[in-house]
Amino acid sequence: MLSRSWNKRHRVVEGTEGCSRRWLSLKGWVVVALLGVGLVIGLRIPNWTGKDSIILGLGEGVQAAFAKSGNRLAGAASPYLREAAMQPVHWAPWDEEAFRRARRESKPILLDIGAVWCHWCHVMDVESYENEEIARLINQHFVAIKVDKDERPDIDHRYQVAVGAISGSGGWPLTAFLTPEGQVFFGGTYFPPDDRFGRPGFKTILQRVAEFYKTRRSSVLASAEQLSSALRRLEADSIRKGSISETLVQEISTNMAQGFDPVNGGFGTGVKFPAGSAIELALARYFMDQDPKMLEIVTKTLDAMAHGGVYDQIGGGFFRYSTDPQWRVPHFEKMNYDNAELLMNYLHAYQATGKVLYRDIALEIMAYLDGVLTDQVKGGFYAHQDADMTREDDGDYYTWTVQEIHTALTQEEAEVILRYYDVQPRGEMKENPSRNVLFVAAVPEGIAKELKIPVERVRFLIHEGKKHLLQARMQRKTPLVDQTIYSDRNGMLISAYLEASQVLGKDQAKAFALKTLDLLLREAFAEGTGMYHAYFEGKARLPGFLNDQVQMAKASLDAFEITGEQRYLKIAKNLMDFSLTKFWDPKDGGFFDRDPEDSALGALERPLKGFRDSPTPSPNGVAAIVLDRLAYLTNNDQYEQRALQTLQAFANSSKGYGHGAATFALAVHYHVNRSAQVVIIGKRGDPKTLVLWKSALTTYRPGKMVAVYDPTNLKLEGLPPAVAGAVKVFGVQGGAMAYVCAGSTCAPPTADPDEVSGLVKSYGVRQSLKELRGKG
Amino acid sequence: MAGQRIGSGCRVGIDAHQIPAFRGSEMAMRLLKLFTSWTLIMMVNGTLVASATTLNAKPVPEMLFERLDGSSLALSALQGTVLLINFWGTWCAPCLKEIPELVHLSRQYKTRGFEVVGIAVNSGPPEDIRAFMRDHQMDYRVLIGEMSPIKRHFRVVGFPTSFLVDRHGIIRHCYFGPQTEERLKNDVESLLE
Repeated sequence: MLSRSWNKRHRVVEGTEGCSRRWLSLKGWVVVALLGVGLVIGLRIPNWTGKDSIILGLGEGVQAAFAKSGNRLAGAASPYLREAAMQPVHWAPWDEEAFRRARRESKPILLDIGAVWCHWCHVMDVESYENEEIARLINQHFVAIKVDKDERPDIDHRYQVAVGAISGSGGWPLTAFLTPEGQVFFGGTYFPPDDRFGRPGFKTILQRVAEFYKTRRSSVLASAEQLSSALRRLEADSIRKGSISETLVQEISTNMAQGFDPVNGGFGTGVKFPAGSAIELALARYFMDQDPKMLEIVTKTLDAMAHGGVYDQIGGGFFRYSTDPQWRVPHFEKMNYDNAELLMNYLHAYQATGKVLYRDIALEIMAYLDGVLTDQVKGGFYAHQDADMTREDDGDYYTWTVQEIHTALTQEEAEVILRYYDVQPRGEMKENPSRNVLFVAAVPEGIAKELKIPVERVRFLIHEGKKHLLQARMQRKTPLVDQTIYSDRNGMLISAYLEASQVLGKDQAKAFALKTLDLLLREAFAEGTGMYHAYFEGKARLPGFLNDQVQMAKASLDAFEITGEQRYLKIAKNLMDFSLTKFWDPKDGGFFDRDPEDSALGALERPLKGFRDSPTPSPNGVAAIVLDRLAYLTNNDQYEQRALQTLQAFANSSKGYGHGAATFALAVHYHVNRSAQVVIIGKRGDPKTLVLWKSALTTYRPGKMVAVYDPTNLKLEGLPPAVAGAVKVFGVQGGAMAYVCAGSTCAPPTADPDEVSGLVKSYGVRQSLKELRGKG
Repeated sequence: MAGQRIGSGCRVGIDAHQIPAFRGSEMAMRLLKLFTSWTLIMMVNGTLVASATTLNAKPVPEMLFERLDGSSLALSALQGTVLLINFWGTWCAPCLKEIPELVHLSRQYKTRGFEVVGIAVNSGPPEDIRAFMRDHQMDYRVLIGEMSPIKRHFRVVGFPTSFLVDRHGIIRHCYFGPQTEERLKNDVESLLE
């Protein structure tokens, strides 16, 4: 039996079942306006505000049918597709053959895009795709294609935009109806199987779409073509060139600050996603001119998130997003990329403020990742952990009833924990109201007062209580871990772990980051083909996207800074050269998300050049940051030129997007306000070298670069001339020396680690606005 | 700034925040924004400094530099020539960027009583500097300077820093960071007239 609690996840986003998506790439109404009326005449479906609960049994006959079925997903690597392999729907993967069949049989395509971690995708699987009658309807009238959004972000992005344009919403599961050429003519996200409250169910929709397609094909094809060309136009119009400057960064930062929620932290007033790049931008801006608003964005958000239900209070690690503005009731899936960004945020916030909470959260995130989302033996970060134990529950693994707390803890611990996390007979999970999400609701001092025990005792009991809750939770069935190793996200995690190794002095984190980097470079990279997108069960899979190249290039540069090994610099250069060859837009600058020369089925023929974080950092923004660093480290102005062209390509389109343009703004910030660049010349094993190096690596300065060169076994050719100059001087000097530059000037060379630290912290930092504020 | 004890020879031309009426005013903010978009401003000993005037209108500090042949030279010996004194190093990337500009500038004006004098700091023995000059077609005069007296006398906090000196040995302009020929030309010409 399947009993679902529909409402609790959607107390805020009324009536939008499905897994929310952070960014809709184009505003739906624009396209609707462009198209005028009539696109989906006869199909337009009244808005559904239903919040009914559906109880659906899975008949034995259906289950038996699964066993006999089998479709073209049987050999898939993606766990999402594999799960659907036994569904009675004749699913095909996204390939030529499926499109050929649609053309041959003149059938529309039913496209389902989802993910294994997506709760509502499973709901739709169970309700609709495992239902014999619905499957029959689909098989008879449609060619069915299923896509895993994690595997194919390129397909997902484009169809999200198209469906968003006609339905006004996006997310997963994405359910789209396409012409045999792959153009959208109708779609939505989650559909319930049966008609309810005047809103047609999936069955009805399938019938009406099939009917409509048969009887009014020419008008379907015409409107699909119209939508497609409108989207292409809109996409092109949304990217506007311009010049970049400090003013542009100020404009985006101000716009971002306007969207900040000063009460709860984070951005917006509805569902709340973490905004890793926005925090990094705020930290960099705060470092530059001590703007208290920027610091408030950082601390308020990170405090609230750390105390919220969006954080796994007893197991560490962050869930994907919160359904309410207070960060209380999350969707419980844990994605590795969110934790990569947040780890970086908490590390940097710890450096900037010294607040111990931030250090502890960073350590807990790593403990979670180490324990659950990594292959400790071979290296590699797994993609995510599911929200649910089974398809039948809804976050039960992470939630608690009062009774469960009492069972797991001593009486004394329970008294404290119930108050600390506000666990009540009636919890936050509305349809299963006895279950509580854990979030910090009280301070130890308050509890101590109420229970009349010393505050130290309360702290001890919280600590013990958490430990025991975790032990109790381990008896539950562990939610599935998707063991796919995606290159782009692994790049982010490698960088975060390398940073942690410096900020927290954790050599283990460095060792694991390098093990992962080496694994991927060995198994999922080749010169000439760049990074593959995924590595799974010992095989590299799927040609890499821009994001895979740039995130791994960034990770390689970080590895070069920390190890001094030239091979990592070479890899970074190779990956950026590859990106410039494959993804560069020679006409307007900037990078496409995928190789535009590659075969392009359906909407893939629409070129896509994004500059927004959705939800991971914008690949174009990251590309510009990496190119600027590479220009410096290899003394190649070409890279700097490309970085500039990339930033200029989006300069005039980036203003109104607030924190969604944070990575882009950060890239502009680093381009116009150069950070400290440190070169250390010294023998590798020399303690004097190591102490200068450590001083440079551990001192906080957003965007700094550190390079170490051992003059004893170094070929001067190919080195940046200034480095070559410094290497030549080494013999005369006879000892390790640090050269710190910022922007376009360099400090006098020094061999004093304290002076290095001082220079890294402040050399070239513009103090004007701070000064003015201080005095004014 | 804490942890950074450096003096400076270059000061912001318009020191907005030091004028009380200006302080915090919209105009001041706008001006400061203007600076920040193109120039490096640093706080030293509690004051805002960047390019222009502590040593402005003062005589060139008395200091001996070493010629590449080992003999020494005081800049006062060059009085009567308009000088661009450029503090640089072979290890300093922005300095290397600036060198071709200075080579052009020097070639263009040397017949009219102008000379670029490069002061190489921390750049190795004279042979290395000579080789470097050959590689970069530097045909202007280069001397060798010691870091600490340069910091003390010229208050150099960063490289490259340049001073433009008139025929009477008075500093008339100060430049922080790499300059272009285009930008220096007018200043040089005005002193040559």
